[in-house]
Amino acid sequence: MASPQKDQYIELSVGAEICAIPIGEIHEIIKMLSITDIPLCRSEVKGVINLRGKVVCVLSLRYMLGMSDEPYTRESRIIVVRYRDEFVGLIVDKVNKVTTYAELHPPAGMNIRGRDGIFQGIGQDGDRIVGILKLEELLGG
Amino acid sequence: MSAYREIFIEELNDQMERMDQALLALERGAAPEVVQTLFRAAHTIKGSAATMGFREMSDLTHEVEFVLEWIREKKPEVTVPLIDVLFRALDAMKTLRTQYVSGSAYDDCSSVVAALQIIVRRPERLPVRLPELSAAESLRAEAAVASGQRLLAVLVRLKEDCLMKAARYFMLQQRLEDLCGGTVLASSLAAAAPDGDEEARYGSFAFVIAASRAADGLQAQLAGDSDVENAEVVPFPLQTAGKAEYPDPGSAGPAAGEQPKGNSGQPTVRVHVERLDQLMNLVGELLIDQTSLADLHTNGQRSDPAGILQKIGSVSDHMGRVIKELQEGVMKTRMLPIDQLFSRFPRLVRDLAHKLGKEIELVLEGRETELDRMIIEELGDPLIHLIRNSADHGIESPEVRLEGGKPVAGRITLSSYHEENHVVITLQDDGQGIHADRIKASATAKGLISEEQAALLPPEEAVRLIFEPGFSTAAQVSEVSGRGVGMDIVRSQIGRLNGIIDIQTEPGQGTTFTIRLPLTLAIIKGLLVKVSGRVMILPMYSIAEIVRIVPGDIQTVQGEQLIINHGRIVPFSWLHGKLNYQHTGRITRTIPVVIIRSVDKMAAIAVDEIIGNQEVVIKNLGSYLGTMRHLSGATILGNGQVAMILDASFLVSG
Repeated sequence: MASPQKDQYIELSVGAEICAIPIGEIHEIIKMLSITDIPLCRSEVKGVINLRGKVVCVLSLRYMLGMSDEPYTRESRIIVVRYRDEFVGLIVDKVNKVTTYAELHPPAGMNIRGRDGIFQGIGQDGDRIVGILKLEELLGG
Repeated sequence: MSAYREIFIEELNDQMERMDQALLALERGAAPEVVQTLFRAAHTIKGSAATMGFREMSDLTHEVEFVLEWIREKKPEVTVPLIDVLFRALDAMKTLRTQYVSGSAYDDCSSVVAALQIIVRRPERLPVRLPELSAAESLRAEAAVASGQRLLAVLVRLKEDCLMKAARYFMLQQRLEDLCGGTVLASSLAAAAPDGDEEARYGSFAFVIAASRAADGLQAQLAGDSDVENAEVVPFPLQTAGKAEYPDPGSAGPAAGEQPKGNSGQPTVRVHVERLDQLMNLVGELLIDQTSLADLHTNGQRSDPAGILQKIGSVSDHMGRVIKELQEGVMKTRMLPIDQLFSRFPRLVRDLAHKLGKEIELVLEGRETELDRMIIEELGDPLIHLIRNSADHGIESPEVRLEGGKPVAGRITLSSYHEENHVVITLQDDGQGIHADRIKASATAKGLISEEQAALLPPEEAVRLIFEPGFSTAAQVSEVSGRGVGMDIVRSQIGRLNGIIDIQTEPGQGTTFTIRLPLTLAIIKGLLVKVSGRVMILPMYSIAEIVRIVPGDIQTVQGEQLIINHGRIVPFSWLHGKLNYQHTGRITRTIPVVIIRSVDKMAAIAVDEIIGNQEVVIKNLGSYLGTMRHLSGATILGNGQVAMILDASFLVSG
């Protein structure tokens, strides 16, 4: 399943895991801003930020991938992605680089709880393999 | 050029709206002045369309003008077919408008033009309406067009002295199919004569035929028949086959008078000049304030500091007042009378009534109620859905109504009025109402609730189940309202506007939907409080009073905490407790307590600290979070932080 035009991806880290998001789905990447928590809200939602006058909801990608939360560091980032006609921020531990993958594979049959279908495929570049997130599934589920 | 274009489109919308209303008035037998109004509107459109080089529109309106002039001169009886043709022309104009805006190809209007011409030149030739295609016939028509056939409408009038008209009708139908190698999809006869002579109905008739051969000689061949007085062959465009005449409000089609979203660039606003002048005056006042500040800066060095401070204070006061007025003024430019929305519905109800074979009277009340324009735009779809529902499922057929001792004509009343900080819109029908038992049965069958739950559910609660997702009324799907949009969509559309919808129904008496909406989505006055280190905002309109109490004032009765406020017992709770936060505030001798009132409930809510009140701009929390019943939204404070706005009905809930 080779991709002829070599789509670009943003590679990011959450805990020990490395994931990628197609660059076209990303609106912008920002440093951590002050987050206002939302009372009585689902646990993956860390709160909202003021993104130049827009109130944008931010989610913990760590939590969504089944990891426990860690304090934010200087490398923590919020990846703002499009969600329906709005934006949603994903908090990640680190943004690594923009990259392309020589080969793309269909997602491996994952049977870890809560992770069904959230990867749209696996990117391979030499002997490195990275799970590519399927945002509509991750945010829609 | 594009500026003229926008003005032109605005004017077009205005004039067509006017024509819509005037046509409805004409149908109801209004005074001859209405024809004059129609004529003027058509004339204006024709003129500006010609100026803009929009030939299709000016040609079409030219024909409309002809017909109107003929009505004005000859004063013929205003018949349903006549009004129908005019409505068809108006729909065609609306379609042209949409195509003009989107820059797509124009529809062929020749059949409408032909229909208009038939009226004026040979009025006696219009005893028959073009057939309306049923859903199945439309499908067959679409298939025929897809396979390369053309749709034609053939109007035939037989000679008076023709014998056995019905037989001629069937023979002509056969002959037509042979002549153009196609099949007749639908046909219609003249309206029945008062004396009930069935045979006379065959005196004139119309066919819709899917033809595979060119129809050039068809008209001459038909007219050559010795029994045929005259025959007319016109193209029958598919989109007039039911769909265009009964626009699908599910997609808010442009024919429903909807301004197409995202039309030529930015949406424009019409503001009364008086309102603009007021705003100008206020800006003038601000300029004066600014000059006095600059003056204080340049001349202030020599005079005494205390005096300067005092002057700055008074200028600041004045500016504050002006800015407040300016803000209100700008808000008002966002407000529109709800008539902008309501005026679309008479046509909708008329078409629905025709289609359903019912008599329905639409009563509009409180048309002048002003509402934020954004709310008005978003309110269209849910209201159309509710009206369709009422017309289809609510209002009974004339026979059933007569049996039930009700007036033959059903009545749908749409009204709106202000109530405190809200606009209330009610949609009331005098139809058959909803039986709670049937709703319960349907809900249990679909697994929404269990049998035991259903048994315990009071009727008024059971009826609310129609708003639940998954409660589709599949058993009663019909062409009119069964379009797969459920009442849950209506509720979520209203919810997105921070509104709530409720239903009261009385079997046999009718159903009332009540929608409560905020006046504006933009700004409210809020009380800023501190709770567990966070700033939260309580909507000011829900606050009855702010009091300070000592811990001893809190009494515990049957496990519930309460205080006495002005002799009334008010349930007491801590805000941090309601929000599931740890208490981090200092324990003070007196506790600040906000008395909240919402609808008919009261609550005393203790906070850590009262900060003060200010106007806050409400921002949506976004669709990812879904419905958050305890929050009205969020706002951005002066320091750039986001703060949550709490919902009044959540605060008073137990």
